[in-house]
Amino acid sequence: MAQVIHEGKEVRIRFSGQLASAACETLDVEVDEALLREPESVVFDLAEVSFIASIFLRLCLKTFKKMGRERFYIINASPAVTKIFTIAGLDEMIKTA
Amino acid sequence: MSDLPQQPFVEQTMEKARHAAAVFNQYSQEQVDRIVRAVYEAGFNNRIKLAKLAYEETGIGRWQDKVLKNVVATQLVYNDIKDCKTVGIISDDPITGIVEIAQPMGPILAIIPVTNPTSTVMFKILISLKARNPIIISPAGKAKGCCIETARILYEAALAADAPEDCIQWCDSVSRDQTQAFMSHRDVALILATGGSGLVKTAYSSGTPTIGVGAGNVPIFIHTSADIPFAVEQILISKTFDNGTICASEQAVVVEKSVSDAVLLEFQKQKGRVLDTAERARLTAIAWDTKRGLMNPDVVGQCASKIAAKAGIATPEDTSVLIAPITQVGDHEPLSSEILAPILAFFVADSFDDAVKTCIALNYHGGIGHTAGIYANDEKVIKEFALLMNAGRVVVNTPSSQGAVGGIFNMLSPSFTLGCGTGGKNITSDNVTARHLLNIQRIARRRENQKFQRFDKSKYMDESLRASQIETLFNRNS
Repeated sequence: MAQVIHEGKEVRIRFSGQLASAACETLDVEVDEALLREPESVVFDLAEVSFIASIFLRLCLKTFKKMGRERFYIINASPAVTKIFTIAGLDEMIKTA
Repeated sequence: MSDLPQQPFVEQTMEKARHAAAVFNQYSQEQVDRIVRAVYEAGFNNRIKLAKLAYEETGIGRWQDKVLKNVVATQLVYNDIKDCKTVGIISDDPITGIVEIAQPMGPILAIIPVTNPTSTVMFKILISLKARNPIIISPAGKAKGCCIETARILYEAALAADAPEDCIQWCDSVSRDQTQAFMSHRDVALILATGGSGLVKTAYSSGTPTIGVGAGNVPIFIHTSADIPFAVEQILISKTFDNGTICASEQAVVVEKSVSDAVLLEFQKQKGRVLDTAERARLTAIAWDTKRGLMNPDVVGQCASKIAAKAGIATPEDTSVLIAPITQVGDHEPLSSEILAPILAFFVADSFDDAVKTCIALNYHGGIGHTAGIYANDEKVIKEFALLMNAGRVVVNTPSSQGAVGGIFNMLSPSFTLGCGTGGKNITSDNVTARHLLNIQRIARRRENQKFQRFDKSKYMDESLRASQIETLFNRNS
């Protein structure tokens, strides 16, 4: 569901599968733990994600608010997932290549 | 939700609705249909409890009739929409090359009236979810408790069927400022406005697309060819239903002189109370708010004997309706206007033409585009009458309340939002349902207009060629 990789001062979290409500319950804790190391930036990699529930949008929003616009971003979102962030009004989090 | 100050509450609600809309966008038809089924069952299974709650809170109508309204809003609406495709590709025509794709609109703000509170909540939630739109319920202040309880029950059922979080939200507190803040919020995709004309106008003025409803002032013409006892019985079934609170209920009966005595006698046989001139004046005084130029809310949804007692008119307890014979239509005759109570204006016309003219006058006196009705056994008369009315629904030999709502006496889509067309300042004259809550986008594949491609376009540049000449050249087989 989530693989946390520390690369220097950056934390990269690779999510996979369907991020539905039940599956997301532990993700909040994992992200909080990763942030305890006070990284300079946090990256959510959504390359393997096919579905997003509200709980994951909230997690993104919470992390965004905590880290700030310059230090948190989302990469590798598929067009379908990008559309979800756009409808939710959270597309500024998504970093395009 | 109620602890939040108003504007932050609106912003927070809309943020949640935006997220719910985003998540809902990923749902398949199967997932949506499962949610809609669960929500329908929850509403249906609570139909009696919620009807009683609505009656106890508002004091309007009859709880037994509100049960039936809840049944229409759940069972009949569900049966009408369950097989409707609302997700992804909904049609593909290889001949025209047009593929239709259903897209959700986004968060919907639902304004709920005091007269049909729980049923309207159920209806609007079902059609919104079927189209994958989150919904925010904004109840009438006097029906807040029953609306919130309905929304809460349906939301729990939706969540249990894996619906997106916050796909159903509601306003705990009701204020004009808050409602207006919602109406004009940039993230509200559509307002489903049911309520008084002022509220509907505010919704239209907000800048947000709105499906509103106009007021009704339903004329019913009993033609000489009609079965009079049947017509009277059907009118009473409708006019007494929930004590006349449905905006499609009969407001005036129009008959020709040759049958007027028979119709009045039949009304009396069926417990109608025909008023004399003095009684009519007393009824007008209590049923109409002269200052506001509107029906008095105190009589809305009250039974005939209670209204009669208020007006000092002696009637038996089981009186079905109060019948006020009048001769004029307009602001100077309040009983010719919409009054949502078991009160019927009664007009006698000299001829068929005069009867139809009276119906047109009633139709245009506050009820343009809504509903009209006719009892007749002459197809020519029915069509002639219908062509002259400005009504989204012309119901024939049918109780107009139940007939206009649809699904019981005809095949109209069951709906608690009856469009009144542009005459009623509405964008549609349809019975609004799930398909009105979709954006339909079309893939248009290349299908060349061969005639146009082959036509010598330089002809268009020749000013001497008129339309008929161009048509001849264009259609020439060559």
